[in-house]
Amino acid sequence: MESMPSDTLSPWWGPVDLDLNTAACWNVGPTTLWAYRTPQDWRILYSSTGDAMQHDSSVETPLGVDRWEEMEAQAQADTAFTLHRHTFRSTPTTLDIQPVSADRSIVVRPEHPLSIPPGEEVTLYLSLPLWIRVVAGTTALEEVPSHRPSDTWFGPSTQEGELCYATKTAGRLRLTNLPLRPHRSVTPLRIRNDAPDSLPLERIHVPAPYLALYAADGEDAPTHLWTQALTLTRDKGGVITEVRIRTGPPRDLEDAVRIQEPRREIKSGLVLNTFRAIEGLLGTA
Amino acid sequence: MEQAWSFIEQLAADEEVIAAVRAALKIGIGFLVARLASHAVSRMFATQTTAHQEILARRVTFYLILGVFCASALSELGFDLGILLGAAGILTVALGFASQTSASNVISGLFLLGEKPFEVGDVIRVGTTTGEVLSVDLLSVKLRTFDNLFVRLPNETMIKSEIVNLQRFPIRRYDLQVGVAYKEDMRAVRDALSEVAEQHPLCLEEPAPMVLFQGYGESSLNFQFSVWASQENYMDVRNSIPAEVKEAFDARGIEIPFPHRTLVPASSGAPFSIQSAHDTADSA
Repeated sequence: MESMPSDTLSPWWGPVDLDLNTAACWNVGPTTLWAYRTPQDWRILYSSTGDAMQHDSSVETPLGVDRWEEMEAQAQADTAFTLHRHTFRSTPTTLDIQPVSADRSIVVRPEHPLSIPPGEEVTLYLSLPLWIRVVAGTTALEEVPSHRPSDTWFGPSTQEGELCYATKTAGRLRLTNLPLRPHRSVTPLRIRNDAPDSLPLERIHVPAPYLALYAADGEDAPTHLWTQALTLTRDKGGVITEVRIRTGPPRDLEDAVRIQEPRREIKSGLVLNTFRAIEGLLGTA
Repeated sequence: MEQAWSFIEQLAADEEVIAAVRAALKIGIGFLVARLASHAVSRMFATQTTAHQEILARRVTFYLILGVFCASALSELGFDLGILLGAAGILTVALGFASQTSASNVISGLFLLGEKPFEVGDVIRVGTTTGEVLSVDLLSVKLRTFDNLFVRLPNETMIKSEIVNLQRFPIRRYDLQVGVAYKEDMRAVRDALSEVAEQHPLCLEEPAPMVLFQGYGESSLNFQFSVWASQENYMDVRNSIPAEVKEAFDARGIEIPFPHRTLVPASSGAPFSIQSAHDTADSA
């Protein structure tokens, strides 16, 4: 079967029907994912270049058995590839590729020191890596990060805290300046500082597993993904009193479509607690 | 036969025998009830607590119920519990002298349970033994070492020894001692090490990795490279970091030296005369 690079399949997520003994390939940023269907198993192969600066995405389907065998041989010789087989009595025809938020919270550090003067309110646009979930029928087969961020620790001490992923932000304040990358989502974070002193933002803890994903079409840009927006308010006493996850799509994109539910449900007080650590870390407590 | 029958009839009529049978039954039932209750408690606690707390709850339930039934059985036999408890005090002193080690282990075990320096499932190091805690018992702590050996450590030893709990905190630091040749630029070494940590996804960004200069060694400039990792990834980091440091040094041409020795004869201070194998062959 001829391989057919299908740019029309942009965005990279969505269901793909595959005949028996055919494969498909998804390039999502630095990660390449292959799926091959036999009567009895789905074979999922993936690798990452580790190059965070690789932003392209494409989907190729269907690919013939010869292309798959070539890839499988390459995977056996190269430890950078991971191959998993998922056996079924009879394999479902459709493979659904879904974007999901990270499985742990993400700590975002501005590339340059950033502070918010008293009485100011700003919206920062944070770019966060996405995970690729492979679903066959109703079963989730794999979850692969589009880019594996480094681990980090977020907490007041080495004894208490939470293991998170680390990423950096350029701290963009205008939506038009934001590069829209298909393998990352954008999280709008509005911060209001009512305290009489500046709020230095050294690190921001984003509770990614609690955020739903929205897909939005830009004017000239391809479809891209957003998470629910976050709002952070610091009161006159210098204490962060209110942290809110906005229900519904971000304010800038009212007609965005909700395509993925959060991994975890918010328990009362949880979000406030996760942000409480910021106060200690920022020295605003 | 008739004699035996009449003997049994006599026994059955004897109140003391009846009381003894009742007491035995009570202990038997008590044992059963204690067992069932402790299993139920164990199941109830299993999902909500750690293995350590679950074992503790099971034991307390078992001995408490068995104790109540035993006390009831003793009173059935006509023992006055008040007097018995008084006698137990004297008995304890006597037993204490007779079995000092066991008693000391029991008391140490109680302190260990109270102090909780580790829990069942933790990996600890006691002296030269490192292993996973299987159970904290009345007399001893049982460990499984990583080469799958069973180690029994008396509680008394545990109380006296330095115990290192390797899994108490969620993150851990790995320190790699590395030396580079004297000709190398120390800043370049620092940069190379920092880059290794930055590019390793399992090394935590915070707490930040550290490069400490340890001093001028015999043959090398000594550094300590410290990186943090989560408990579950610690072994991966420990295994991969040395290889990546070596690769980074090789890529930059930074030399990891081996010790250099200069040998000088003590008597004359003159250098050794060296004869090459080639010369030896010529002379032969």
